[in-house]
Amino acid sequence: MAAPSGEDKRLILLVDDSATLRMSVRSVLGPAGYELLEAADGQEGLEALAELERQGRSPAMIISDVNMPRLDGIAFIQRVKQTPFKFLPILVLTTESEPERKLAGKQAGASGWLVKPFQPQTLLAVVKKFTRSLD
Amino acid sequence: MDPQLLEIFAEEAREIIDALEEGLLSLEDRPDPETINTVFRAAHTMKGNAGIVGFDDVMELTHLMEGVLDQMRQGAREPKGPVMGLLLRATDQLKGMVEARLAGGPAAPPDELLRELAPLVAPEESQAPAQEPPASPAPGQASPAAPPQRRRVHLKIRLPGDLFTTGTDPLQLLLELEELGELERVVCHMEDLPPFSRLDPFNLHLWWELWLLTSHPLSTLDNVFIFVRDEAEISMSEGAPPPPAATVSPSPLARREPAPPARGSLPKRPPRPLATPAPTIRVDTDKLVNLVGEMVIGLARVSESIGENTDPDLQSAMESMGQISREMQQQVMRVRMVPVEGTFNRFRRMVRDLAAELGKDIRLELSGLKTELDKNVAEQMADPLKHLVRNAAGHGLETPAERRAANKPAEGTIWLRAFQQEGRIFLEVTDDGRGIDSRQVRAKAEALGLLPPDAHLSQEETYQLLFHPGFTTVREVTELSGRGVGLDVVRENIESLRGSVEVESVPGQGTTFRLRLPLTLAIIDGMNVKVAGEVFVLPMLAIVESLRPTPGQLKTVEGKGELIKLRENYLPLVRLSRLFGLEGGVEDPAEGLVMIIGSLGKSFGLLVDDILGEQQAVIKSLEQNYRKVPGISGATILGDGRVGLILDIPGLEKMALAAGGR
Repeated sequence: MAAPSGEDKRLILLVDDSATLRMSVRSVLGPAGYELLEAADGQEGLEALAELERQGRSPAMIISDVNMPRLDGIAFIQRVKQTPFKFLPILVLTTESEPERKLAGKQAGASGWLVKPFQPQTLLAVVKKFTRSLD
Repeated sequence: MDPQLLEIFAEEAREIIDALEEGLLSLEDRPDPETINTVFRAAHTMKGNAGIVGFDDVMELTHLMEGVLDQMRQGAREPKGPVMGLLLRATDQLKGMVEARLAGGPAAPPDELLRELAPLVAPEESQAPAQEPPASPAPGQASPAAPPQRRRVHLKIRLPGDLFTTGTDPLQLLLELEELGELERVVCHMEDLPPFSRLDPFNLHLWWELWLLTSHPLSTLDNVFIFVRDEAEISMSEGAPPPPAATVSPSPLARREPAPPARGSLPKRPPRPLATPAPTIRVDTDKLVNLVGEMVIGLARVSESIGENTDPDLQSAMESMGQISREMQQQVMRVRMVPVEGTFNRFRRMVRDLAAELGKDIRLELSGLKTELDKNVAEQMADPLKHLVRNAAGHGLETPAERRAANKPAEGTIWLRAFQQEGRIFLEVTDDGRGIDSRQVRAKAEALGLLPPDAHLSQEETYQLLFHPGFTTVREVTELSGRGVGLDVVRENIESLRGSVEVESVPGQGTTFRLRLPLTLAIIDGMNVKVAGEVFVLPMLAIVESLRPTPGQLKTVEGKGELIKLRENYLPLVRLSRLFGLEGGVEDPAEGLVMIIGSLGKSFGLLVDDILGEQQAVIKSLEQNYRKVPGISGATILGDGRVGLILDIPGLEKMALAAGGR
């Protein structure tokens, strides 16, 4: 399976079961020019990636919650690492901060860990760094 | 707040609350792990969402619910019995709080519920580290045969300068460490902090040393830093005890004021005591303060006699003596500082008794208990605070019936708060009662002849009438404004400590009395000014700026006296020489200097002949040695051995006000 070539520098996959959280992330990243593809749990996240793959597109990064129904964040990351999207940076955005959880996230392949509630400018800085779209 | 975000929050909150309710009810019938998970997640999501929209009280409640549900999820608690009733009540409360918040009002604090829920979760949160389950060791590492003993780990933490751009908050990391044991000491190193002019606020310039008592393996501690590990320098060693406290510089983290929890932070646990209590030494601090005072005076005299002597050795020796003396003062003053906790805690009983006596439901909320103030100030504040609390309970708060009629919770609340700001201590007594009706205060003042009928008064000035001694001769002002009993005594007490009182009130919502007090009573930073050959000391904190006025800036207005124009505003100009009846000073303001004095948001200009320089003034009481003099708060010994009088700013203002009208 070839890695999808059409990486969209402005496209971000956001996986979180809270509509409020998704809205608040969108209100930060939207005005900064990012396009968000939203999924309500890990399973939906994987489906969204599969759809992108069919279209030959790729997001620039993934933002994922940990605690979600059906497929949780850690398992979701592990599954992403088995897809052609395995090189995408993944930011975990969660209320959890226990070292064990962080370790699990890191081992699953997360690239960053941001604790909710977040400061808008912090999220923006991290996203810019991860998408290498620092202007 | 983005209204669209609130809309989504509202919609989702209602869904979540329904799911919570439904899940809890079905759990009672049939406990099944999937339902427990769903209910847990509902509370979890609710907590996160409340954090996003900044509803901290909702967050606090859902945090506890989540804690209890997590225990069920882990199998540590069965989903049946009274706890289910408690969770259902919490859900109802949650519903009410969310709706109240969405309607724009404050949510009714569910204290009783929190008190019931907290202990269920507390054992897990405040668990002694020795009983903590050993964290799962990183793979590839040998599992320890027995649970590790609690021991001391010394950490040095240097995080990458651009840490913030990766979304990491250093404080968050330190708090995570604290979760893993008991922080014995935290030292924040500020050596690398650049001067303010070159400070890049987007970079981290601090590093930390911590001593943590923990039973967790080093690998678990290391995992806290897992996402910054590659660029951070973190060293950990076991066993080394922290240096003695005296040599440790106070760190911002370790000495943080107990500020209200930051948005989204979870309820704070009570601070844990240090591992090894230091032995107590008794010292007569009054004597120590006196000695330091004498030393300051002595040094000023030496400095004065050295005068213009330019011998560099002498000058540098003098300079270093000055520094040592200043540091010594600070240390001695610190010894005298006591937390306000002791003073505040006495009110718990008093409010309880008052409530019973008055037939009212009163809750007392204390905050800022760790705020420190000079022990003499603390002692002298007890009576004024008692007065204010009694006033709030007796007159500020309505009866339960009145409150219900006004759509308020039957239980009234009195808040006692302490905090430190701008080199001063603030103490506040707030009630959520009926507030002060300023029209009635005014009417009464006019009836008492304290105020001409056409006088124009600001809100604050109207409230200040309450402190007028004349006001308090009327013993029954209850039906009037509910205030006024002995407030003049309160103000006198505060002002004798060089403090001031402010009042804020919203009719129907409550009243705040705010006391501002100096950090210390014994020594102030003063500015020596000359008026007609006499030297006066102005407290530095009161001085906003000084200027030499041009004739164009001055103006005399009938009935208001002299004014000075400062940028766009006209401020009253007070001539110290006239106030004190001194002759031979500067007559033309353009030949003198005007000190702009800021006090309680009001400013005025003070005309002096000249500025002589700054000096630390050791305050000697005039009342004890002579008698009380209006406009003067004390005396001090100047560098040349003469006595200088320390100006009392609120007093001067009153004198000026009285003189200005004529």
